[in-house]
Amino acid sequence: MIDFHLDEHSGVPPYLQIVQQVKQSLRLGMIGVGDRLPTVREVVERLVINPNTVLKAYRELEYEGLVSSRPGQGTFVLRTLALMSLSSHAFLRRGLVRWLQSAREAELDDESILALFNATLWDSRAAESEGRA
Amino acid sequence: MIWLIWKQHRFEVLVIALALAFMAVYLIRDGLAIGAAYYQVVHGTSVAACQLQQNPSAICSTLQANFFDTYEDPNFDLLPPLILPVLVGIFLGVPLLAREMEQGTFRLIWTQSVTQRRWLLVKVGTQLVITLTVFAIIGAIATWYIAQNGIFGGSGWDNFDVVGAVPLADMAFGLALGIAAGAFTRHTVWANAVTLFGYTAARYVIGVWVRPYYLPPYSTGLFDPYQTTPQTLPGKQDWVTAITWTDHTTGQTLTDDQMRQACGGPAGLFRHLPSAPQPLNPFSCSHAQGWLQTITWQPIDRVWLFQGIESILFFALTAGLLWLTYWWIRTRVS
Amino acid sequence: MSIALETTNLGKRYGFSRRWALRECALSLPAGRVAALVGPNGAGKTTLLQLAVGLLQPTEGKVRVFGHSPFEQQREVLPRVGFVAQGHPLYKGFSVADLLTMGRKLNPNWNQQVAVERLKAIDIPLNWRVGRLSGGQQAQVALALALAKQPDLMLLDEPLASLDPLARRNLLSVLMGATAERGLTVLLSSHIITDLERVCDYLILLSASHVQLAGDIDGIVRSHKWLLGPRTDTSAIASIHSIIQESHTNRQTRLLVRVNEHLFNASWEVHDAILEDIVLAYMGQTMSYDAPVEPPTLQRVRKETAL
Repeated sequence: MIDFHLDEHSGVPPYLQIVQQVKQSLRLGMIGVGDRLPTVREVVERLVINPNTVLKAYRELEYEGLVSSRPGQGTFVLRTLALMSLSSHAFLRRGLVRWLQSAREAELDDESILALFNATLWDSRAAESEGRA
Repeated sequence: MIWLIWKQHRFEVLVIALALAFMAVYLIRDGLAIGAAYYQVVHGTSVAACQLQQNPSAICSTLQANFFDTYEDPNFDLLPPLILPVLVGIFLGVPLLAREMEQGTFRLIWTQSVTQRRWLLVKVGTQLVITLTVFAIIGAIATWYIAQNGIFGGSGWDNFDVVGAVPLADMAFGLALGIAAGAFTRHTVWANAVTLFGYTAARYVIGVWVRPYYLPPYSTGLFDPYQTTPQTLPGKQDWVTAITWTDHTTGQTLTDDQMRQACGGPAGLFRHLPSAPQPLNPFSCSHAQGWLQTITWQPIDRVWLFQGIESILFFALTAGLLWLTYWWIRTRVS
Repeated sequence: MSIALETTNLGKRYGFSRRWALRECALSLPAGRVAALVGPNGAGKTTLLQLAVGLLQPTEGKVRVFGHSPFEQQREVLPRVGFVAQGHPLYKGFSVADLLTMGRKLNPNWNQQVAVERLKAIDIPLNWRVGRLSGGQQAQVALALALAKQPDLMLLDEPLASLDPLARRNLLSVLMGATAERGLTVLLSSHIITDLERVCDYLILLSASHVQLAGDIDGIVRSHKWLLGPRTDTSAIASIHSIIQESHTNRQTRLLVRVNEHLFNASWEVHDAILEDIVLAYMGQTMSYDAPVEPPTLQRVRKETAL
């Protein structure tokens, strides 16, 4: 079962954080095909957020084909994402290490790095969905 | 809703029921005791028999003296018209709304699925039914007590407030006044004060100033009561509502001071006592002055009618207060 | 989509006083929203909520809950509306179970089981007298009572006031759970905005007895912007957009505007605004001159990197 958490100050909208955490769990193998995601009510009681936020997240996941919601029963995982372990994607990791070095040389602290990364990621997602729409 | 009413008011209802039970027991026990003593045969005679004698014997004097020493006129006729309705108003009527308003719980109860009208109707209705039933019982016992023991004399007028529908109407009015006071002041202590003073004032005003005029009273004007036939004068059981003196020539009403100045001395001059034997005609002075004494009274045969009128009056006031309360909480309370 | 609460030119004046508690109020709250009613004290929030539940009669205008008048048609409206008044009044002498019995006897759609389960889940003993419970627990009981009616609209007057942060969180958690389950429409008033941001998707802002702002929060945030620029006269901007707040230092001018079109003079820097700033601006508070000129939000960083 996924235990969601929200980072209010990350600048990432709550619904997107939920989407990301579901995907993360899929990647790490914590949930698999056929498993039921937490009900909207459970998530909402845990995180104290608007149910529409969760509904939006689950709709997004459904749009991406990762889950399917059956009325009255819940939302179930349809397919998994490629399992990721830290040893794979070595090429990406090396690029990341280099980028981090540049960031440190530009005297960015950890928070600024994360902020920059999140903002850029979000922008690219936004551009993606705009391209889709 | 009945469950709710019981849960909220059971303490007050029990207290009042208990108080009334005590009253009933007292009345019954007392009434029986008095009756027994009155008719008890001692030394060949009884107090009852003695009362009928024109010239009581020595035994009778003793018997009578003993009896009236032991059993005073209970004079409980202050209770129903004054004390009990106020108690009902304060303990049952005021908490009905004042408590809900002080604690803000009216915002809880009036947003359950009962309408305000229904809530008020059921609450007030139950309280009215309970108090009126209990008081009807007490009233019946009191009527038995009085009828049984016409011992202490007193005419129908003396028992006006204690018999028939009048005490019921008084009770309903006291309750309604408590409820209305609670609604308008929204404060238990103030509401209690308003109930106490308001009820007393209303009873005084109606009992003293309005009651004598439910129907036009009889009146007789006399210069000298000893020269008038008894038929045109009020009898022992009739209710004399007013005695005024006027100067026959000028038509002006005379004050006590004026009369005292002209004729000296009070008492015999100003009171009409046809049954008391007088050695002299005390009215010679007033007669010589040309003063007219006007006596207005209500005859005994109107007692029931007047009781009916007053009951209707107080029931009407009750209904008016309750309607006003409903209007007030609907439109002015939030 | 149905409209849960609708008002047309709604106004309320108490008794014969001159002051209007609420005036010219026009709202249309769609069903399914969780709406925040914010505004300073005395702005008319309590009045609006009480008009919506039928405790008050409008002086002018109309209020409709699911199409019915709450004051005139109590029998139709009351079963569908759950109300928790300010201070969550309860019969303190009753036990919690007694209050549930009361609710069961007075409400047609009462769900006793849900209420009992919910109270058990937060460890509230049913046989305790209400007077013995803490403030937070009493608030939970009041909420449970209102929710057990299975209403379609929940109205709560300052439900979070006088509660500690944990109690606030617990209350909102229960409320959100119920909303998720039943598609409830919620309108709750508060003058703490930060509490409500996560939970609400609709905002009604009252100030000086008038509705200053009403709409989906997303839309509101999108349509308000900070404009930063050199010290200047603002009449040009004012002719296109609505200036909500302006402040000047001797070299800079900063404005919060509600945009009417996306048209800005090149000399202005445009930044997004957060909800709290928008609400405060409407409530008439000016930010201090000591505050940093650029609001330190992430949107700023994004702007720079995009250039």
